[in-house]
Amino acid sequence: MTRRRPLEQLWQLYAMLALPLLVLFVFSYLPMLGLVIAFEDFSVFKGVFGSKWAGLGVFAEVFKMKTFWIALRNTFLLNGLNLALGFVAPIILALLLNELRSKPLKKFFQSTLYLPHFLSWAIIGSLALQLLGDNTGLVNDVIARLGGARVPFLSDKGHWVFTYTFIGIWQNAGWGTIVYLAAMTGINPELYEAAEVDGADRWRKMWSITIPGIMPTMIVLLVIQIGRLVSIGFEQPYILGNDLVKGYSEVISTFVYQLGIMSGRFNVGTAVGMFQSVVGLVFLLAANAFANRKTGTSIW
Amino acid sequence: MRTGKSRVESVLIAAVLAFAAALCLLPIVHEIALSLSSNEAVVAREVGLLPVEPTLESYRQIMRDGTVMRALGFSVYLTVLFTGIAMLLTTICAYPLTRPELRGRRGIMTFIVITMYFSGGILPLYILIKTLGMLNTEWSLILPLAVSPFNLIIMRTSLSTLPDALTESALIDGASYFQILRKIIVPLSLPIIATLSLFYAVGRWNTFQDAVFYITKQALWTIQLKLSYIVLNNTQPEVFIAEGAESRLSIVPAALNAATVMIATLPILVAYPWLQRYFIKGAMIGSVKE
Amino acid sequence: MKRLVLVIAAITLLLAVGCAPKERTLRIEIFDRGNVQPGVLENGPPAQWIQKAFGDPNHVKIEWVPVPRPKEVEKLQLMMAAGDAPDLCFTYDAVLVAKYANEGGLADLTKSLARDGKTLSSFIGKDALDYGVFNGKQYAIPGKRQLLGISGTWIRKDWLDKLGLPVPKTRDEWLNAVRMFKAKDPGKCGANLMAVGDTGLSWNIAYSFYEPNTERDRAGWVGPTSTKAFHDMAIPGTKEALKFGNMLNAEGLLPKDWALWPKNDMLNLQAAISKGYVGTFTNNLAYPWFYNLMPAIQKNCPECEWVPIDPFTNSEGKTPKYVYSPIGIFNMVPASSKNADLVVKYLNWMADLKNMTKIMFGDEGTHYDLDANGLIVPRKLSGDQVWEAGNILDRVIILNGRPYDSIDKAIMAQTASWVDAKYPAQVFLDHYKMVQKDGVPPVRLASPPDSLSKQGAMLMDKAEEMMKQLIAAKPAEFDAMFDKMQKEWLDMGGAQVKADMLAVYDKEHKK
Repeated sequence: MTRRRPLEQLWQLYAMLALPLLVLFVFSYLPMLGLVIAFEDFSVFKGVFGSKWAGLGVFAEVFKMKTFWIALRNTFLLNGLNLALGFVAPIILALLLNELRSKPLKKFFQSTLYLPHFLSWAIIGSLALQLLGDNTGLVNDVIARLGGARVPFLSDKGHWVFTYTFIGIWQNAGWGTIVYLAAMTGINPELYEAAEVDGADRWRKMWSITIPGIMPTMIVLLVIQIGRLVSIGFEQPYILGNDLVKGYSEVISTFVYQLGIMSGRFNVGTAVGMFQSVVGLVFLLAANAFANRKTGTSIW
Repeated sequence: MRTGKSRVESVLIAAVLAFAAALCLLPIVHEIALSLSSNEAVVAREVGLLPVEPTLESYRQIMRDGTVMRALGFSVYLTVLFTGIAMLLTTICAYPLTRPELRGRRGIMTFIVITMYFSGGILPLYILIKTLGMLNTEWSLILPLAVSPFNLIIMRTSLSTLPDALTESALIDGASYFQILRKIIVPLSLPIIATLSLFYAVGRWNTFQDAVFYITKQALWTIQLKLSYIVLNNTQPEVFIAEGAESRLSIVPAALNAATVMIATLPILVAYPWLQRYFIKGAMIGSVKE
Repeated sequence: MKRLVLVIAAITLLLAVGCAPKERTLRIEIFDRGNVQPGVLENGPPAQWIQKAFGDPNHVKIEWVPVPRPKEVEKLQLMMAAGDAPDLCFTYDAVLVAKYANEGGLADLTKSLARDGKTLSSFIGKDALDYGVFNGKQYAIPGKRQLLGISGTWIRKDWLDKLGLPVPKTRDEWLNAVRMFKAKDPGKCGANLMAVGDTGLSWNIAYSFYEPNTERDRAGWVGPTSTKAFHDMAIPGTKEALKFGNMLNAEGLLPKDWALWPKNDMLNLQAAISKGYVGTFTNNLAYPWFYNLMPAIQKNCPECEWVPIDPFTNSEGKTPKYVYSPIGIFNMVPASSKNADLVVKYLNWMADLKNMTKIMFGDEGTHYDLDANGLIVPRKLSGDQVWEAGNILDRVIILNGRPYDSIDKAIMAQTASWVDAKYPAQVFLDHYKMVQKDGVPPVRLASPPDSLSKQGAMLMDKAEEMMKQLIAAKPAEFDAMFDKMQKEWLDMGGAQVKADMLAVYDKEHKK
């Protein structure tokens, strides 16, 4: 029996879409017209449509700067590390939380693990220095007292990169568990009961039931994060970075900020942003296509 | 039936989580201690996890300043309003995108994904907001962010894990899509709705980059905007010296800083524990059985 | 007959109304620092009085436009772009003003100033006014800056006394003193001792190494144009300066982990000062007072006694240090405004000391009194009686300072609340004089070269990075490292920008 497709009702779906898409159109697409600034010798007085055309001149100017490519490399480096080491952290935490039987304990842990997400980077930076400074950091003081050599967590480029990554993971892992925990509630408890009967231990259940159950969420989040490899926030690298490790801490966001300090050139900021948009979208499409082929999950 | 091995594992798991929780909790405890310490102790960096020379003076000073409490009140109002509108728009947008009979699904999805990547920047958006007469209104803080592509994708993914049969059988019974969404889909999706509500709420609560430019009326300041002024006044005193300003008006005692941070953060911290009641396991049982 | 009278009356009335000067609205920007009560900016006592004393007689309704201070440049750009910038707007960013002037975005105020701005011109003075002249026209009216110095050195008198050392008057004496601080630890600070509380090399020390230079030489120094010091790897004397810093670091005289300290956040230094761990430091004006450290110092280190010094002499026996240009904020009128004449009239009205005093402090006898020195002492009032002016200097934008006719009075006014038994007024007067002595302001280029706008920020950042790395380096590696870095800096654009700046200077100064 073929299912009846009530075409007369299809308009309802379009009606639902109308308002949100209108909001997106007005507030995301209309301003996109401003992207043309990236191709202009922009002057605030002549406006977006009155400024002189510069073609790809702005892009050429940016691409000629050696510091731009260094910033781009560092962006990929830091984001790549974060992805490789940090993507699984919220998943692991969520799986562990899921194992807890005591509800109050679970609630307590859930409510504490996500706290760092609310700390401003200014505070985190200050704490990082107090804990991880070469000569004044608490951690190094303990290491020294135990007879070890002090570790240049923040002053050596190589070490700094990992310090940066782990602080980032610490800040976000707890927050990231939320969406996975939500996904886990959607898994049919009967599956667990059946596995229990079959004599599976908790790890088996985790592997065969829980993980597949949250797999679509995982894949989508992974694809999105791959699409974000070329973008990076401003505060974390700016605050955790310092002049000794500038070689690795200068990223695209700090590069644009510094460029804009001198008389705020909108066209450069817009051009770099556009570059990131294009590259990011390409990454997203590639990752999504790959994920779709391998697992059938797709954003589309 | 829990074996001995299982019990040991449980303890280990709890220990790992406890360690992680401690790592996360300690900085907050430190901030609380700062906010309850005397200003001299804070400046001299003598505060660890416990308040030094405990005093409520910082909090008292804040309560006396009407603007902080007003900003707090407005932030709560704005966040609640924003979250309600955003969740409504996101949900009614995500559901149709899970329906295979919707023509043009891929195109619409592409339309949405593009907004995740391309942006004209602050300048065009400011001009738009001004042209629409939304400056100095809460709508400038609500509408541009009300439909987050990221949250939309998450919601769509989550809704698409619900069995097709739910909608199909209801359609056969003559229900409209509106009814299906309201009576079937939403009740079964409370965990993801709670999650995204939290995301929207926290996002709005913590953002002030837009408020800086759109809002000049003090009555419409959010607490983060107010806080950013306080922090900035504190970290760029040289600017004030350059401007020959009065130091007494500019530099806020360090302890006050910490207290303001606590006040600005506390309300949103209670949102998650409160929303946890919606994270109910097995919400799906019984609904698919026909 | 009655009808005729009525008609004539009506026509007369209409004519009167039509001919009466129409009320204009003057929109004036004001900085919002987020620290005043609601309504003060738009409607506090000063705003009301300005409306009464200037607005009403000129048939002008004044509207205040608050702009957030931390984002003033961006907000100004946005308002200009959206076409609703206030009639009177301002910014500290000199490069932005030059850009606006050269793009034709500002109104030409030359004629208005000549006609309606006599008091204003004489108050601000030609030297300062020239900073607002571009292509021969007056596009901006800079405020006058009263106090030009910013960077001063302090040292622990109690430690010097304990060690039997004189107050340092030369760089060598200073170096000897800090070495003794480290060796003898007169304050018994142990591992917490910070002989020199500077992040690397303070600018006062660096300048003392720069070889004697002329204004033209300095026109080629790469640095921020409004304040602060130069970030240039190729000024003659830089190598010696950085080597000195490297030596300070190698001898352990600098704070531990100084290179990791965040730029804008000097909490580490402030904590150390307030606990009495620091022997000497060079930093912003009246540092311990401006940053509210005195209560903590008095509590944790009662024996602490700071004296101001100025020991970093160069080869000519002078103590050069960076100072501000003699200007405050740039006041300008967008080209699209129809009220340029009103703005000039307003600023001219403000250029009277009496009006400035009233805007800032209210009335003598009601809100303040004058003490024996002629200084304004605000009265302790409450509620409605308070002359709530908010941030007093944000309204009197033609003066960066206080409404006194002598600099000494202005200094005393700023420091009055800090004076006590340990630190009499003379200490501050000495300090303020020292920070200004042999001051080296930035050289003004009316049309900075393109290469500076495009690469300046990057070059300065890079110079700062290199300098820090050089000071932190191992002494044996210093020479090779410096030569390599200096060459790298010059090659990446430093040489080009410096040459361009000198070319512009020469062009602007050929008479």
